[in-house]
Amino acid sequence: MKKRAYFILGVLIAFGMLIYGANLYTYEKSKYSRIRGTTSVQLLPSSWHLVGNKSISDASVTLEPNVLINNNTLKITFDLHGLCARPGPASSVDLVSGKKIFSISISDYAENCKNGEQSIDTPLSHFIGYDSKIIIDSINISFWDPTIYSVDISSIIAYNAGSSVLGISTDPKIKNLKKTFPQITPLRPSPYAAESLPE
Amino acid sequence: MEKKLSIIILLLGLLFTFAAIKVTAVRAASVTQLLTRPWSIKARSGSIERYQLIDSNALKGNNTIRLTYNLKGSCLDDGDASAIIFDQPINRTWRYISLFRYGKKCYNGFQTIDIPLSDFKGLDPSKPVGTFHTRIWGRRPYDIEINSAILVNIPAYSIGLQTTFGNILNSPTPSQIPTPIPSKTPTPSPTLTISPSIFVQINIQIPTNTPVPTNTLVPTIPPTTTPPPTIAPQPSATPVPTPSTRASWSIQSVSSMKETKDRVCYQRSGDFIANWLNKAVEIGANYISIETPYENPLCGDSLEYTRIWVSKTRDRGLKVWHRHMPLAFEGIYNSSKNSEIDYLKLIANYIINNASLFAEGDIFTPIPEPQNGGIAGVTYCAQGVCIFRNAFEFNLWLRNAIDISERAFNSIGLGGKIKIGYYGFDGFVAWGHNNPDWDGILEDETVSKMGNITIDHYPEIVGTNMAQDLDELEARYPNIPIIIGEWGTITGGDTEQQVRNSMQAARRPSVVGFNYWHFGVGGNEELISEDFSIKKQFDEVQGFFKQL
Repeated sequence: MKKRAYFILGVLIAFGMLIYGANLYTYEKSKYSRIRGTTSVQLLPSSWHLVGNKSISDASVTLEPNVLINNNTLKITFDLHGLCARPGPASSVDLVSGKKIFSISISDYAENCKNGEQSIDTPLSHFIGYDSKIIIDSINISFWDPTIYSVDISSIIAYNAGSSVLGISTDPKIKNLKKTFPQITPLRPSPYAAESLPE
Repeated sequence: MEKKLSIIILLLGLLFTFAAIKVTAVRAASVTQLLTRPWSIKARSGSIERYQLIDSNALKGNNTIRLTYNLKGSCLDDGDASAIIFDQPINRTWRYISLFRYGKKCYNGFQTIDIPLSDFKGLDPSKPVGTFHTRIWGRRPYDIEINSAILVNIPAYSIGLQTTFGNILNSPTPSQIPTPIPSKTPTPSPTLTISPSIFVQINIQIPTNTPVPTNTLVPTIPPTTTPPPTIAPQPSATPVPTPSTRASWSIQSVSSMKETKDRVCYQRSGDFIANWLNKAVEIGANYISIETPYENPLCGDSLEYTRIWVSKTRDRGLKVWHRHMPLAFEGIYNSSKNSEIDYLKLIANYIINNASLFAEGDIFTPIPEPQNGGIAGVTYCAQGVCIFRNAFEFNLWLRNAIDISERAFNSIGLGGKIKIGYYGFDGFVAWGHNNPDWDGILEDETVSKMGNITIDHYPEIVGTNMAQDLDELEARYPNIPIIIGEWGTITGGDTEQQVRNSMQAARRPSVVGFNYWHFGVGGNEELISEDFSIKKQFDEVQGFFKQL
């Protein structure tokens, strides 16, 4: 009796693996891998390794038209290898549509200076000027730092945060970067005129 | 006979052909203009003062100040009633001369005078100096314009021979012998308000050989060609600064990083370097930032390459901004980063062992961007190695490096003659750009030791702009001279507009120097291409350097 039960369990496991393997084979044949949810799309065919030394390092991937339709968020998985990513084009994700570029800065979302893989979820609405009617030709990621750096981008997934099984529905907020540091003590005694005597 | 004549003519023809393509050194005689704009000093009576913020190292390497001014018929009084002043120590004591004792009295019209810095009682040009200013006092109405104040280094033999020294240069009339008249005016308080202004440098290009238009491509002679005969060099003209020639900053430098630091293993020929430097003269630079490693990597002789660059730079009358770096500090040329090395000792030994690389008036930066070595808990540490354990240690190292370098220069006879420091900080360190935890990483003692704040800053790549960022830096460190240690159009796009925006933003009272990164070759920022043709933003940079 016990043997029969083990046999049935083994058959079920083997059957399940067969179906899973067949599914994987089907997905790999398409350009973008469908990830778990019906609308989630892996946009990166292979991971990127960006390196630089006082130079801009970038990589881009061409998208099929409408691949972002019905998706509203990008999940980007990367490893800064300790780099303290700088704002603006120094850590930029760009959606490119012809000559138009819609950007966000990874430094606004990442756990900066972290050594190890992390993921950020960026609503497409954060790419200023982008709307879902615009066809995006490519996604570009660029980094710059005045010293030696390397960044690995392992995944860029487009998904619909409202319906995806990934289940993230809260928009990540840009960190408050308001500077609150105190005024340092001037080295020279006050007062100092901003201008010399009127001429 | 005819055959021999034909050969001679042919040889002569070849000689002249080679002579025509010979790389010509273009000399730039550098003098330092202190005034951003003319001082207009006008009153019905009483006193008026004018102030100019200057680099604290401005007097190093100079022995004379050349003033051009117009009294418009006003008669000056002696003593501090017509004072031309340097503060030393900074903001403490007036070191001044009385303008009354120089030039033509009550003269209506411009006159130019040379005043030895040694006339400023108690002034030590080898030590840091504060503001440059003037004070005029009169009982009667006066109207005076000082439109130029240039620092120059006149050779000692010239001083001895120069009969007009201390007198007017552009007037054949000898100056009147001053009559010391005790000032009846109150002695001004040493604590003064400061109006910072830009500190400007003048360049005069003087061809020293067969004139070759500097904006024309000069062909590089292939190494396989028989060296062409050299034309006997013409004696170069003595540089005579033209007071109307203006520049934007006292330090106007272009970086050679792509041709020095990045080329130790693939070194350029002497002709390439010569042409590169000729272009640097053409753009109006007075310093060349030479950025070779202190040590030789396995693949190339860095020291010898440095010697070639330095020698050819000096041939053109330019000064050197030494921005060398240890291999293991950032981990370049396949070196592993190493925080255990005594970099201070390495730097001191380099100075002592290579004295011929240095000359009076040079700038020496012990390590160009020391924060890039990594400060634990503060900045990114590449390769997981932080050179500094914390901000305190970082500050201490910055100060010690200046002291140790000064001692090393002293031991080779250049004590007080080299401008030391000028570390290139980024916005993150200098004023907390994108750094919400910033609370003043640079200690006051460090800033005081440096005498200025130098920033290697590319606002376009971090989504901001030069004007806004300099405003922020000025707010954090009021009245500290600023030097742009690195900036260039690295992001590409409309590079001409970027130059206009960023360099114009740096033309402000607090900014006293500008090093364009980099001159070439390579990248969006290069100003010259491989064939020495100029890039589109070259003219814009030149416009700032030469005030065209």
